[in-house]
Amino acid sequence: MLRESHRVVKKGGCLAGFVIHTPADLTATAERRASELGPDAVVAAGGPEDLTREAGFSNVVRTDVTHQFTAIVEAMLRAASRWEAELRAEQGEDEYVAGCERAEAMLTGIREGLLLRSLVTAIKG
Amino acid sequence: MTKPEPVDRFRERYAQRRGEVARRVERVVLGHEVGLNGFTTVEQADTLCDALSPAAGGRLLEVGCGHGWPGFHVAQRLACDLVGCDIPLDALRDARANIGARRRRGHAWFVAADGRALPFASGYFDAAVHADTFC
Repeated sequence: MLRESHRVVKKGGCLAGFVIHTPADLTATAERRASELGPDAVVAAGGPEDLTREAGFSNVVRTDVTHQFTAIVEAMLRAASRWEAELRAEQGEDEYVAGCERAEAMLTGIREGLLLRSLVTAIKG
Repeated sequence: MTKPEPVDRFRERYAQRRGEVARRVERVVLGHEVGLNGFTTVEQADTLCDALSPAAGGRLLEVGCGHGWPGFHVAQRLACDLVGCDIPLDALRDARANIGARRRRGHAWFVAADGRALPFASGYFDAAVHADTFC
């Protein structure tokens, strides 16, 4: 995705995005646990800065926004609890439970230091 | 436990209709309401605008756009044309429906495409955004 983004952006153009990723240098066991706890499709192997540079971008800057990620997932769980009866009725029992389990798993991953969320910006030089 | 393939999981989730209560949760937690769009708040979408502002005014690509958030917000703020791409067709249909009444400037198109093989000419876009779409 990053290589293709680099190709289709003109020279001097910008890339900016949020990435959920693991910390550098995790053990294989920790990587597997992060993958199990993390949301679908977003746990990138390797640091997002390196991947962005490898795709050809320069001026790569990463800003850790994990504290905001934590607050958002916590707010999702609070809201799911606050409107539990209505959500169960609207979504069905299985979907409600699955959604709560996904959010709780993510929160566990964040609190164990296995999941980070960062803003990564870069320029095509 | 083995997870379903991410693309299949996203297809399945985007095919589900979002009810009023789920939309209320989204409004309360993220400050916007477009449906199933991850973890990006309005404030964070504004941060993307700040990061991209030197390249504003042209063509913006959002890879893995889902329902068009946050790409559409960024495009409106920066007066860009937007091309959003993603794989689930349900998401793209909803994206087009979502932006209809809210578009104030620029144009927006939503294209079925895999971010690993984008169907666009090299150098076509002035900027690209993504939110939790790494692959």
